[in-house]
Amino acid sequence: MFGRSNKAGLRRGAVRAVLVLIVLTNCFALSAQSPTAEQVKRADMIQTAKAMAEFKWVPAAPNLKAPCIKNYRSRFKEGHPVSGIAYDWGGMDGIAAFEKKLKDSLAAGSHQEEGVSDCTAGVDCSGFLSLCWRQKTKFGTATIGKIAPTLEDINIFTDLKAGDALNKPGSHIVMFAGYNPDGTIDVYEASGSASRVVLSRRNTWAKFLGYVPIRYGGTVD
Amino acid sequence: MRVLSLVVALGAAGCSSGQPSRSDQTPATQSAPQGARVMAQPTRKIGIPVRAVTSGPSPIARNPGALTIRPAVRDQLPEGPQSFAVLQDKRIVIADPLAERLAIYSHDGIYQRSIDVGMPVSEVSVDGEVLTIVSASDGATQRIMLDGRAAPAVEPLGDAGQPVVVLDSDRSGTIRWNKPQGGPDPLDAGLQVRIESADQRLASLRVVAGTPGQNVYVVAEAAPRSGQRLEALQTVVRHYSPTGELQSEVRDIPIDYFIVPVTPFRLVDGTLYQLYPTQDEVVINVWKIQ
Repeated sequence: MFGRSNKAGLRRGAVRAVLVLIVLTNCFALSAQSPTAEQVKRADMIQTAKAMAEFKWVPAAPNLKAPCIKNYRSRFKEGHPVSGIAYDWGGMDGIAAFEKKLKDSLAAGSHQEEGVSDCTAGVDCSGFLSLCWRQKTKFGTATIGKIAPTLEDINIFTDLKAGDALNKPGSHIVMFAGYNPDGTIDVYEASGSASRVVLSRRNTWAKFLGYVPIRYGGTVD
Repeated sequence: MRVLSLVVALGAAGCSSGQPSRSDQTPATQSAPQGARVMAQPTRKIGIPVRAVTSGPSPIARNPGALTIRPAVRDQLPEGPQSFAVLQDKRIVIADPLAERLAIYSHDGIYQRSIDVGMPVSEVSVDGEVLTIVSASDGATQRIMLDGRAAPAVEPLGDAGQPVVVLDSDRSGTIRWNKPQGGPDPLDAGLQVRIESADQRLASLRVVAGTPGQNVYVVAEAAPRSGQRLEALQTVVRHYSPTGELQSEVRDIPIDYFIVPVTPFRLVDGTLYQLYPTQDEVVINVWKIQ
């Protein structure tokens, strides 16, 4: 029923379709492996972290209220200066965004029990790392491994570098800042208990049981 | 310089709450420090009840003796007591940040009263009758009397007399003290702390209490040499006499904290106290060392 030329044409079409399918599959695979590939210098990571930990602001009365959250209770006091971007569960506000939201009378910070809201400002632990690593979208502690693989064979007591992170999936993540002479370490973190981004100094290793060392894939030394 | 040995024994007794047993970790090197007393089990334990809240700071309810915790949730650590102080009369003061208070207990854990401080406290320490508290939210420091009245501010002490600790190698560290103004030079009077086991490394070393010429207590963390198994971390506390002789070692200290303390250890009159928050209660472990 089909002529020889039709069969050849069908064959060529099928081959093209298969080739297109192969190319598309590879594209999707590549995008899944490395959704972002921005190169970030370690010094810039630390500079971002430091700036967020040292950002000074003063809560005004409107920043202590969150109209979109029932039973909201601020951790801050009106007029008491704070150093460090507020902790905001689900948030990923850098300094400029945080400053603007405060001026727009949004509440400073929130915790998980208050949910992700659009009337609060600040950053959570994984949002903080996402910002320091110049990501356009926020990763959680369970998904940040997609852009920052585990450092499997390093000696955690000697080989971490500033800008690396210690991650406990589902729980918390901190940015490694440096080793101290007494063996303790300094880390930057968006801390729920501190309600803000802080440089946490002289941490013993017991604090990091259950954490694994990870390194952002686009890190530049 | 006095050379003192720190032997970290990988004992069979494991930590509580699901930590792997020590017997299946790095090879055990069971040896006691020469002439030193080894203590594993606490002399006693004080268990203080907790009440779990799912929202933020909340006033204490019908049971003021219960401390306030908030369980962990996705991408947020649990919250609750992270610091404590022990008074000279052995009463225990625990910072209860979610209730914005300091809770005071007798030496055997009976609730006595609270001091409302109006802010979440991340750290509390005591000097005589004066408590120094640090705000969790903004890092501000306040001094208050035990009756809650404000105490006069004092000039910061600076680094004079503070210990300087340096890990010299992966198995040893040295402790020296900054020279106090006008005092004898203690820089020559260093203490060296050393891991004897070839399978272990000294991960960190800190001074819990003491100065040259007094009893000195140090806390050391030890881990497998490879540095690839943080779950095998161990913590010990060592006591040295004023002349630098090793007196005793407290080992098998539980470190699987439900809430990691800012100040896990206090030392008062030869007794070591550990703040050990669990999911069900806040435990104060006590070892009578001297």
